[in-house]
Amino acid sequence: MILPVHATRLRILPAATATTLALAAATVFFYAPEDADQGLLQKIFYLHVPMAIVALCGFIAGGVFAIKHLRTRDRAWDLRSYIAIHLSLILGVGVLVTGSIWARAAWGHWWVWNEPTLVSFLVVFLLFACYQPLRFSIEDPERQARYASVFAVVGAAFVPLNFLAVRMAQGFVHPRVLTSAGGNMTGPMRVTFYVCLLAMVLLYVTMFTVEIAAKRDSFKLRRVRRELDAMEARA
Amino acid sequence: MIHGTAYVVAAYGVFVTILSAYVGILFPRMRSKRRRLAELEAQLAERKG
Repeated sequence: MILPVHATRLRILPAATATTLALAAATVFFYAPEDADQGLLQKIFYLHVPMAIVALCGFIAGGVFAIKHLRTRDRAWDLRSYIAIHLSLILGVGVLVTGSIWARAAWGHWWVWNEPTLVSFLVVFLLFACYQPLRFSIEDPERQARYASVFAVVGAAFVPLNFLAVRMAQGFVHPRVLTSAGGNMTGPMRVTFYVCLLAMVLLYVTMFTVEIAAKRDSFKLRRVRRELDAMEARA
Repeated sequence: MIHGTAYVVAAYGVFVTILSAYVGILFPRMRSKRRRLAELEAQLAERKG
C-alpha cells in the first residue's frame, strides 16, 4: 500500500492552517460586528457552522473514497475513506457540543427534539459512529475494507438526502446561515464567515495529511519489523 | 452580556480542547513511531551491510 505524502506539504499545511486559524479568530472577535438580535452569542456560529459544513463534506468525501476503493480494490482509498470519516466524527462531536451550548443560551434548552436540523445531524453522526465498530468487528482485512466501503457509500448518500429533507421541512427554529437568497449576514459578517470556513477546511486537510503520514509510518514500521524477523529466523 | 460571553467562551473552549486533545494524542505517537522506525531501519541496514 503506497500513501504518498510530500514532505513540503507536511511543512506548509500546518503553518498555513495555524495562520488562517489565527486570522479567523481575529476577524471573529475584532472585525465582525455584533449581531443586533443575538449579540455576542452569534459569534458561536463562526465556529459551529463551518465545523458542521466541513464534517458533512468529510462524510461525503469518505463515501467518494470508498467508491474509489470498491472500483479499484486499492486499500489506500479505503484508508483515506476511514481517515475522512474518523476526522468528520471528531468535528461532529464539536458541532453537537457547540450547537448545544448555543441552543442553551438562545432557546433555553440544550437540545430540541422537534428541530429537524439538530436531529438530522445527530442521525448522520450516529450513523457514521457505527462505521468504526462495524469496521473493527471484521478480522479479515479484505472483507473489513469492502464492508466498511459499502457502509461509507450508503452513509455518504444519506448526507445530501438528509440535507434536502431538512431544507424542505416546514417550521424552522434553527437559523439559516446560508440560503439561496444570500443568508442573514452583512458584509463583514460574511467575510468573517468565509475566513472561518477556509480555516476549518485547511484544518481538516492538515489533519487528513498528518494522519495519512502517520499511517504510512505505521506500515513502514510493520514492514521493517517483518524484514528483521525474517532475517532473525534465517540466522 | 456576561451570560453570553460565558457561552461563547465555552463553545470556543470546547473547540480548543478537542483540537489540543487530538494534537496531544497524535503527535507524540507519531514522533515515537518515527524514532522507532529510524532505529529499526538502522538495525536493518547494519545487518544487510
